[in-house]
Amino acid sequence: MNAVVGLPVNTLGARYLARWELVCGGFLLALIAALFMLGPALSGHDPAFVDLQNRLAAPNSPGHLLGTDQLGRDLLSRLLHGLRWSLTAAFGATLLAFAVGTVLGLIAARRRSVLGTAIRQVTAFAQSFPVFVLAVCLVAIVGNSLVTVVLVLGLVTWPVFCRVVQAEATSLFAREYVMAAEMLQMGRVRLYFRHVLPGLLPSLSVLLAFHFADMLIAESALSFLGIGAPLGAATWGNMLQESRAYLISAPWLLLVPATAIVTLVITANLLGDGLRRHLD
Amino acid sequence: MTLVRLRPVRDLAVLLLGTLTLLFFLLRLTGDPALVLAGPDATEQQVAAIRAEYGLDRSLPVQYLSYVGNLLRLDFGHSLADGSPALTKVLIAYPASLLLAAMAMAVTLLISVPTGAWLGARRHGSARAAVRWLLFVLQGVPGFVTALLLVQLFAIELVWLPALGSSGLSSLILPTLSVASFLAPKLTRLIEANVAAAMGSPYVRTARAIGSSDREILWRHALPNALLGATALVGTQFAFLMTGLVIIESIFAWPGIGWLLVQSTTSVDFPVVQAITMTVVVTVFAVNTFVDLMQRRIDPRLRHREPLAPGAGE
Amino acid sequence: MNSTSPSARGNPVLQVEGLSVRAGSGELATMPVQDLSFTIAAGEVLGIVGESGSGKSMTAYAIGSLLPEGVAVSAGRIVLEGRPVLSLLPAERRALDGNRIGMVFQDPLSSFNPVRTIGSILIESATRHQRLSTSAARGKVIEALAGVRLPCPELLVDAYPHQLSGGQRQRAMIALALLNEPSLVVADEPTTALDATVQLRILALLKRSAGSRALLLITHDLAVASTVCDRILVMQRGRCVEQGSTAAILESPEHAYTRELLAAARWPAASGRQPQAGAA
Repeated sequence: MNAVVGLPVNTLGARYLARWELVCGGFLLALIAALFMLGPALSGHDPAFVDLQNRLAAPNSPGHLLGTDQLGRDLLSRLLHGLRWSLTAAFGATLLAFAVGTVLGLIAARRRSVLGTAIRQVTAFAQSFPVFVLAVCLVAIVGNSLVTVVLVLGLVTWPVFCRVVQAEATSLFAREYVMAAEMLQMGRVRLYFRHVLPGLLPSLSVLLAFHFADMLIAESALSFLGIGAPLGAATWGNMLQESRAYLISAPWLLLVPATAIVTLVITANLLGDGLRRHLD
Repeated sequence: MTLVRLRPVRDLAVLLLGTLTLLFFLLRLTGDPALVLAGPDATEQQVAAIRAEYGLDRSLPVQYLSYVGNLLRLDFGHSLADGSPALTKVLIAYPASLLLAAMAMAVTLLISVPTGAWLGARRHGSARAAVRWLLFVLQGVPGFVTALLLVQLFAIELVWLPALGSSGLSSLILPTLSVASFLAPKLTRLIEANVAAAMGSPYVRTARAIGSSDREILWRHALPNALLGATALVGTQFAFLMTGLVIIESIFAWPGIGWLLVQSTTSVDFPVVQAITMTVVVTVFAVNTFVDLMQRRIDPRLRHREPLAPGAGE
Repeated sequence: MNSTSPSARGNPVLQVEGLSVRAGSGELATMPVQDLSFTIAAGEVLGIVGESGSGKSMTAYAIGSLLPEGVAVSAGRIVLEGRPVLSLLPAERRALDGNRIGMVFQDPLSSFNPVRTIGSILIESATRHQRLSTSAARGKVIEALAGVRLPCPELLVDAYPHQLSGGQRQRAMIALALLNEPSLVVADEPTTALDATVQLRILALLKRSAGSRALLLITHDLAVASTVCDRILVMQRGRCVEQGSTAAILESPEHAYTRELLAAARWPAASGRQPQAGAA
């Protein structure tokens, strides 16, 4: 980039920032993982338990750390349930996109073949295609459930991974040590695992983090629109949608899930950014 | 020349065919397409009628051909909600989306280009660091959350702007800002990266070597090159834009195709969903092709390919 | 080029005394150039020879005030035409660049803005330093392009860099450096990126155009230096190892490193190859 003379001038600053981002991101991740595992049980309430005597209680009310919603349901437990839902959906979708995209990317990088060309074309077109629109259609047609959301989001976003794998694998395959291994007739699977995948790992790990953030946002957007999550389920998107009628009387109904989503996305972004700086 | 001109047409045909086929099989995957098409409240008779009308009792290849035939004649069927032709319904909703998209794009450019250029030109300073951190946080806030927060602030608390509907200019403001918040963070970072790359490039060094000031360099070298590089990604930006439209229109009940899409999918009005998908595909394709053509005209590297005086003066 | 240089032949144009350059700060700082001193007189060609990392390019950039971010002169003086330049204000310095000093860079393809014409940067330089109108400047530029033996200069002015060959671009770069009749020309590896056949011709052009100016030639190739330079300075790891007349360096090198360089050079002594002045 700085072709004037490539002196590593600011590496100290960049390394420091990368470390800071990774530490913060890691800390938040650990916290989130802990909450994920503890689940709604942490709050002592059932996320679906309706208590009309206790509607719209403000945060810090007795027994309800984050207050209750318009049906008296405890917000903390709904929040934690939504955490599990969002994390599972985002994680599953990312993994699926990663698996499909990597395999197809490797095929596409593998020199000329009809399949490879087809994959390349699809990937190129998908870059400017509004996949969210497609996801909306698909989930609506197939039906509302966590599995549907994971499948649809994963199967609609594999080009993201495919594109990166394609580009990097092509240059990797041209490297001498890979060619040497091929000439030695190393088994294809072994070849991929020992030589190609480790080379792909740096950029893939960064992409995984950012894609995870995107899937989080996509999933909450879908459930916000009433697509993907069953009606009344405790997902953050649903909670945001339900909060709209009570913006004046109970703004915490909006702020609690909003803060949760933002925190999670920032965590993923911190990790992705830190990884990218660290590996650059 | 003719070959170049035909390629977009061929690509579009392949694209449309692919999408058609996808929709075709998708409908059949979920069970009885007649049931989906007829809607959840249809009677046995209505379902049977649908089945006959769409030829769903015939063999698969025949169905496919008649399906493709229908769509080629621009017959997308009728909306299950109000019986009007699906395509018409979609086309009526287009202008509202176009207006919102254009306004949002304008606002985004107004914010992103100066900010990105400023960030890319300055390499250090606390002001720069502060802005970058702000951008980072903003990027972590999903667009629809920003929209809701904006509504909370301006429509509920301050009651300056309406929260819903599309009457009057003031109702355009919040939706525009919300869609812009989808696009602006990423575009700003993109422009920043491009400007920073341009500022560190060898041709900027040449400009310095002839005594150009920082300001002259930014305007004459960095910005043009950065913006040119950014146009290559207008396609992806457009995809973001569409995503933003779907969500924001639903929040503000803005009568565009995004809102129509959500309504139709939740009520499983498949003919309309189908019509929207196809029109979106065509629109995206048109935008990409247009950008491609524009690039060919603007970028000198693509415009003039031939060497000027090969071999002479070596 | 006629010799309208203000300094008469023999007067020192550039004096460098005890120049040191530091890159980075704190514990990661390095010194690409340490305590370097030399002089170049009008009409003289000095070659700085060294391998990559020897600091020769940094020296050129220090003289041309083109040091990258985080790199700065930490000690020493640079005097151009009797004026110390390190303490100049930015505006004063900019009046020198392209005017009293002309730079020729290594890679002519990337050194020209790909989306602007070759002529645009030359016209910019002429209008700025010679206070000409654009049309008058255009005329001067066409003359300058003709002066470096480029064909159809009136067409080339409106050509884009990618439309020219490597040798043509480098000629244009030399035209840019000489446009405002500077007293010092600094050429940083001007022929390294060119084909072997073209290199000799460009070197000859440089030498011929230098005329009564001072020319500083940076190169890693001792053979290149020996064909054009009157004196040679050998650098290793930021320090001057030896300097003297070309003949002295080639025939009786004193330092071991110089001897190594000699042995590694494409020494044309046997073939006695010299660039033909007429062919340039």
